[in-house]
Amino acid sequence: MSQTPSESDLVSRAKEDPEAFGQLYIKYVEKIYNYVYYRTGNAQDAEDLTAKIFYQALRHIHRYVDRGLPFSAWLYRIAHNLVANWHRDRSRRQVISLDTLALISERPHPETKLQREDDQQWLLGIVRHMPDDRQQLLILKFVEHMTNREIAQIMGRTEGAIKSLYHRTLLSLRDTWAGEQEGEASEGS
Amino acid sequence: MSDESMAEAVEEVARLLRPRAEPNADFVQMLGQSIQHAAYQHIGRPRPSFDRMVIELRKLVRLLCRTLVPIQPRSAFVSALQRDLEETAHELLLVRQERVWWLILGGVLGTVLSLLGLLAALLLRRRNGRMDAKKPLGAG
Repeated sequence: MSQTPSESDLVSRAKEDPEAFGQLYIKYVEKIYNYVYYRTGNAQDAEDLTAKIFYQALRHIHRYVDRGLPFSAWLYRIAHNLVANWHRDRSRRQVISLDTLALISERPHPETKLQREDDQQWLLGIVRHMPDDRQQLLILKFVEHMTNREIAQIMGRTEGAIKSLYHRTLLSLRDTWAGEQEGEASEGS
Repeated sequence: MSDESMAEAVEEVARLLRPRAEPNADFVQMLGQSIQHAAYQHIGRPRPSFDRMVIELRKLVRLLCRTLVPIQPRSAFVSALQRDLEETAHELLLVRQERVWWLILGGVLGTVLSLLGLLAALLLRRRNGRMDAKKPLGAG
């Protein structure tokens, strides 16, 4: 996902032209919003942080230097830093996400669907407690459908390191899952 | 069978028995790490069979695909933020341009003042030179 000439032009134009910046915004707003949404777990904070990320990008774009990496890598780095600050501030005061509460209260009746949503909620909870790099990897892979190479460029690692991290992340999730199921089975017996 | 054709047949068998593909170095490293990780994780617990592990990993990936789905931000939010960003971009551009003009003006003023200072120094030096020339030789 190296920067295409048109994107490179757009970025250099965006340093002087607000409309070019608007085009970059339209191109990346959904990706950044999704990243932030899955890192924070609620739409309100996702909107606030997405706005902060683009304002920060706007203030610093005149200092942006094209080093052959995609522009999105720069945006994701800003997003990563702001989300980390958000988590640091939030760790001082525990808040339950409204979206999670809404999802829990709006459970449909069919048992299979209920089980499926339980699994999804459980998985989201586990993912949000994983180390930052693992969360970022899973979001970029499953939400943004990026290749290992693209993820490596964004995370500033080698493709091999990303494959290895993905493998370890899946194994650790599987172990947690298996542990949970074993716990449920022993409780049921 | 002639010696030549025998040699060819032997070579063919050797070709068939030769491993067809070398494992990728990354893959070997990754497998090593995952085996080490799995061994560490399962100390004191019965280790699941390879088949069970593959089934569980597949289930997990399916669950991840179902859970981590793209979310659409509210369109009102997207358009309002775009409008605000473009307005801010215009203001920042004006501020930056103004700053550039002030820098140019400062530079020009600095240059003019330096030239004036230089001119004044030259005039002063010339005047002092003239005054020195007018002084009688024996004076001072």
